[in-house]
Amino acid sequence: MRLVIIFCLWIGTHCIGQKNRIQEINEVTITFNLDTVKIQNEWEGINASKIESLQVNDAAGLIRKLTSTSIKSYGGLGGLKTVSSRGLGANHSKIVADGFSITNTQNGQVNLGQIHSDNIIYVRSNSDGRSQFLQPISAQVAGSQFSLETFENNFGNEGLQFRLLAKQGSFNQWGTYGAMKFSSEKLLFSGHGSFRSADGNYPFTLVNGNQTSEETRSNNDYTDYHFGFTSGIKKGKSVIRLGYMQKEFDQGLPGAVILYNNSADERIENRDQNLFGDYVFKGNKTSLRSFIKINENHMKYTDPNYLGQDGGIDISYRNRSMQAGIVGENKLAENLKIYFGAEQILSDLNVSDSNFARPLRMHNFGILGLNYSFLDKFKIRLQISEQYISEYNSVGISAGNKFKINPYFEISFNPRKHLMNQKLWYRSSFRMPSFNELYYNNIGNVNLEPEEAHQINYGWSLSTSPKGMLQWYFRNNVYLNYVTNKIIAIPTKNLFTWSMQNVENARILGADFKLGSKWGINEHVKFDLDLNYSFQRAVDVSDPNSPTYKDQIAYIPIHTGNIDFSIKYRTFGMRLSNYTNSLRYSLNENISANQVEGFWVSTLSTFYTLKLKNKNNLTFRFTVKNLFNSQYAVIRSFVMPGRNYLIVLKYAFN
Amino acid sequence: MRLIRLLSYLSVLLFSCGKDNKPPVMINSVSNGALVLCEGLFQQNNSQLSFVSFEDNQVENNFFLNRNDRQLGDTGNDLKRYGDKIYVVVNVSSTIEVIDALSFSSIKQISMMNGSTAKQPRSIAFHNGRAYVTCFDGYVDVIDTVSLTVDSRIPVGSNPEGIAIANNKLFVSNSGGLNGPLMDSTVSVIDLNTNQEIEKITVGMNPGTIKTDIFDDIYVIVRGNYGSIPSRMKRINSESNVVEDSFNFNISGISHFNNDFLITQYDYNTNEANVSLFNTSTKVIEIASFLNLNEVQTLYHLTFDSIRNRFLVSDAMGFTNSGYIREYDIQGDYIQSHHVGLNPSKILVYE
Repeated sequence: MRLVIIFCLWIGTHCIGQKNRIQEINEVTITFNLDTVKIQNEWEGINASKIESLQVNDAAGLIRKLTSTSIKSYGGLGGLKTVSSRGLGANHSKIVADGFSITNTQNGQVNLGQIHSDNIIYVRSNSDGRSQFLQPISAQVAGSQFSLETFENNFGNEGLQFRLLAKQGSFNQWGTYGAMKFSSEKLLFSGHGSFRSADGNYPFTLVNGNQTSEETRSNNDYTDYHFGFTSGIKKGKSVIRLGYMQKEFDQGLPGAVILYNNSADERIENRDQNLFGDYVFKGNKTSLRSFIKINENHMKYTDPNYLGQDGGIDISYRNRSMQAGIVGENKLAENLKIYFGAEQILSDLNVSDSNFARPLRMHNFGILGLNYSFLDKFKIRLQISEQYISEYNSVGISAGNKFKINPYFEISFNPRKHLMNQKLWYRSSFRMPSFNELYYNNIGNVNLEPEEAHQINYGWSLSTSPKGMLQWYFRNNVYLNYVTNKIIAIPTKNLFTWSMQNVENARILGADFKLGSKWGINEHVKFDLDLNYSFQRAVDVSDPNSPTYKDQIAYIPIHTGNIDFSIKYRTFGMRLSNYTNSLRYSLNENISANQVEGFWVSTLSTFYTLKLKNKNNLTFRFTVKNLFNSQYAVIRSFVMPGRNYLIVLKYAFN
Repeated sequence: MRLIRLLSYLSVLLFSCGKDNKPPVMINSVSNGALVLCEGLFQQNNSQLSFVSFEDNQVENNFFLNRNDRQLGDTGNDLKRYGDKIYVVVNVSSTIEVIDALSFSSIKQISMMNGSTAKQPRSIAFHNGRAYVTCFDGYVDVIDTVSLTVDSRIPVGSNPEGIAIANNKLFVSNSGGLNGPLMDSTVSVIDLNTNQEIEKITVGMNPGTIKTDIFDDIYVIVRGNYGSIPSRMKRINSESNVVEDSFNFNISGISHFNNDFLITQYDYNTNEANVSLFNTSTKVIEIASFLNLNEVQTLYHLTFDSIRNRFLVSDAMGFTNSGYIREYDIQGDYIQSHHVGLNPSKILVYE
């Protein structure tokens, strides 16, 4: 019997951004200037003060607050968490941090559990198709894209800024983070470092038929650190930057909770290094960005309980990638802009198991588009992108070369600022099979075709003007997506021999609603309420004779919601944050035996800031997570922690 | 508090049911039916027993859970009866459930852990009041069927899979399946007088299913590497411990049918299944296409019900959808299907 588990907990990089000016309006708005991410209004994403009051473990905790996202979480600090947007699948999502794509050609998915959140100052989804012409093309042409901005890679003209925090929480969690940032007319420099560790031995209630027992999660310890530096020079309208970042983690994998069998000894160690740089020029008519990032990732997986003749598994992986590109925009006329770009990503994988392939992938992207506005209200955007992938395998058959062209079309109607903005867009995209899917020992299949996605979306939004006591914003999207050639693991030879096949076609009908509001009663008291609800009816439409035809696809909840309410009085604040997923199915067949119960998780966090003189601040935060002690699992058999707390002390200068 | 009420209203919205909303069936007596082991899937804790009653053609799923208030565990692999007890070998949970065959209440759960490492038991066979269980950590465990404790461990080859008894000897197929692509290729012979391994016979790569016929010959399937090296059957003379026959047809399973064997051949590319009748005295395939199984999607196991003279086919429905037991009469004509759990495999028939 050979059971192979494709389970890679590994993240590519933590990246850099570029120069921009941060202005804070009402403590919550961030407006970027010289930037890859253009933000039209403050409601689109989650800003720094909300991020801080959420006190999440990692980027997954933030991304799940966005609409039409479904997170698969295997639990724990650093535990594998991936995001699928609009039912497309996690491999269609690209994460861009500070203007650089996080790449992972080994398994094609980004582990959000490895992205810290202490230094994130902005996060958003780009599914509304906003023009992101200075972002890497690899992200622009993906089915869905999320952007993160960090404190240490977003520069304004504030001079010297300093942050230092220490935290302690349940299950022996300890952490610290420090960052220093300096920017002036000519220079920019930042440095940061952080460390986290936890035992992760959380109690949980195990339900077995009519019996319940109290158990403790074991082999769930975690230690990580990261540090980095970014430096840059500004001259006139251009900025050039260079930086370095390193991350390491070492964690136990608790695995699924298996009845009557508590053994769990798998471990993962990982080291990630990134060297990056970019040059940005913003002129009156032309803007240009050229960027490069080199990443090397080493991962080691061990399982002393594996019953092979070597007395266990010990396997190391090295995944390297280099991405370089140039993107730009040119204003041809008052109402006509074109944008263009080319990017190349080179990546390879080296595995200590001599049976594994040695793939090398060269992935080329090209993009050309135009933005045309007319009648002062309408905007049309047309885009065409190409991708050419050539693949080599020095020890066997390679997946061969692929070439694809994908269009994107968008029309929007904005009658007046803040009033009803409407947009209709169509996107065609695809995602390449990952190295694991193509080459992984007996499971890989070099004949896999990429998954293709077609999305059509209609959205509209309404908001009040940015002044006034009560401000609110409402947005609704309705969409229909088709994903064909979905790659899934199915047993092909017998129950123990699975292989990756293009077998599934999915149709997703979805809608999401977001309401953001804030109410300033007077200069000292402020309330805000954020609600969102997403509906995703993602069904299998591969084979009408199959028992799963038109059944909801595994692990996509039909209903997802967020309700957040916060109150601030002077320098004291409180936030109650709620997140819920409806019932899911662990396999594609929608029968009661496959049901995974829905859940509702609440977090209550409070803070108090002491404003010292000369722009020094000290903030104390106390957070209770899973306030009502919900016993739940996102993925069957991977239980999540019950009620737990976190205390944070943060010092900030400027 | 209004918030909690709001939460509970919303909870009702969120928690809906699956499409099989019928109330579950409860069988009254464990007789005139078939007990089916549904393996479930790895790490889903969803292995279960289903009872198909031939009296009224009802199926009760979760048969063990309903009578013992707790689940069977993760990935049941073998189901056998010895005297008045049923033994279920649960591979990933690493337990053996010993159950009263008539009342179906649990007598004992034998934990198959070696310290903090799971032994991963696979198959069970019985001889003279003892149960012999192959464990993937390279041993055959000897269990006393009265005290229900593990008395000793007999070291064999790597990842032992199947077990058969003939001539006062145990024959264990050492698959070496976790060492792919360099799997094991031996059958260990254990003398049941001494409970020691006396020999290892080389049979071919990745031996799996192993069975005894009425002539005390041992037949083993060497499964190859699921690719270039195909699956073949070999016959071992249990007196001399020598491989005497090597058969040149494709094979995925062997089932007893009166004095003969039914050879199942499942083509994974076309999803087509063929069942041949193998004559154990002439040692040739007598009828190449013995059963025509058009209704079956994934032929996983085949059991002959000698009480009712019917064939019961375990249809695994692609291994990820809930399975069916399909009934065929002695001529091979389709009778009916019963909807059971995920990955039905071994069946025990009850009078």
